Amino acid sequence: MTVPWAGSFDMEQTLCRQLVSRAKAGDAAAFERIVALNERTVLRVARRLLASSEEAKDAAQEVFIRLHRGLARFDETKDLAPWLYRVTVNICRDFKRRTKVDIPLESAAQTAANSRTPEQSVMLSEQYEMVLDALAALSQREREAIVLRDLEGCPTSEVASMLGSSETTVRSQLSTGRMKIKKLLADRMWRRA
Amino acid sequence: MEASVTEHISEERLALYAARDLPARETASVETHLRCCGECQALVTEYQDAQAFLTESVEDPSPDELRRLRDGIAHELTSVGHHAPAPWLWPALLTPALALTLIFVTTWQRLVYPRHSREESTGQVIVPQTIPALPALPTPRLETVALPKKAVRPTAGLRTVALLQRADESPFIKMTTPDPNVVILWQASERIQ
Repeated sequence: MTVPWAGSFDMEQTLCRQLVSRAKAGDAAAFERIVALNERTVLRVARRLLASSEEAKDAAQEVFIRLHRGLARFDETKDLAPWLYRVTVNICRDFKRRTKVDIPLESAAQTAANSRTPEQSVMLSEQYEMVLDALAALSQREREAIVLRDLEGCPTSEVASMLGSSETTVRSQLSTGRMKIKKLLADRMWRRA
Repeated sequence: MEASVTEHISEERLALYAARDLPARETASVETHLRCCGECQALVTEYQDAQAFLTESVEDPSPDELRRLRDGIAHELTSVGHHAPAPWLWPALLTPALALTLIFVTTWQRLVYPRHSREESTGQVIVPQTIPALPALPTPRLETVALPKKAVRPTAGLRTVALLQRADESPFIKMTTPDPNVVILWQASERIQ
């Protein structure tokens, strides 16, 4: 797994800035390269924010379409990754609003598990399934904070900026989310044992 | 916030401390407490285990998912391109539209103003219909007809007017008056053909 805020992140962002500059000048190959560099991250985040993988694909697609449409206005001196994270979160919020809002803790985990076909369930590892169920049990805001901070490894200050919140609010969402996840995982482990 | 050595630290703060999300000054006081509290230390370990469980289970999207995403983006961008025709195509698209508009307007005018449209389409001037001219009556011959005299007080005006014509005679107009002794006959000198 590639964590953007670690390792080759700076180099990747420099490359992305150059590619954005070329794509703005009408270079289609540069835009394709931008997609290739960021598709995993965008799709991964969307999959964790939305229950359905089909919806996640549609949301990720919408992110890149929006980038393409807004290229002319995009400031290539800025990093692309925060913009992509922010837009992904916003689009996933829109998708959630269109389908349905948050469901209470236990039933949310159950709904997420029930919505998968037996084939999908077999394909997903048990551990991964538990994490998806745990994420489904969080509120939308808690899930966004946990995904960006704990799964993507973004600094808290960046997460606050992406979500349009204060650092204090994000910390509160993180602590509540982590407590819920720990409880849910402990219950699942205890049941399995 | 100072943490007492004897009082336990709130779980919210421990959840933040476990992922290094507490501000520096709070971190120092939490660490002081943890050195002498096995219970809080155990909780921190639980949070760190849950965190590790989350990050370990993160799965990147499969190549198939990525391929479908790329196809979707390409399809969307291509169809967006089709919606905006090249500038040289505008005249070719506008001409049929203009022709259709003209046909519609003409048909509509024919339906609403049928007479005007016939004049415009044939170029003929319609002469308004007039009553055909009647043959001129020759100068009538005035005759006095002797009628039986009755003692009736004469009144002004006519009672009846009739145009009479027998087979072998020229026509005459018979006018009766309120006085039964006076009848006016106005006979034409020629027959009306």
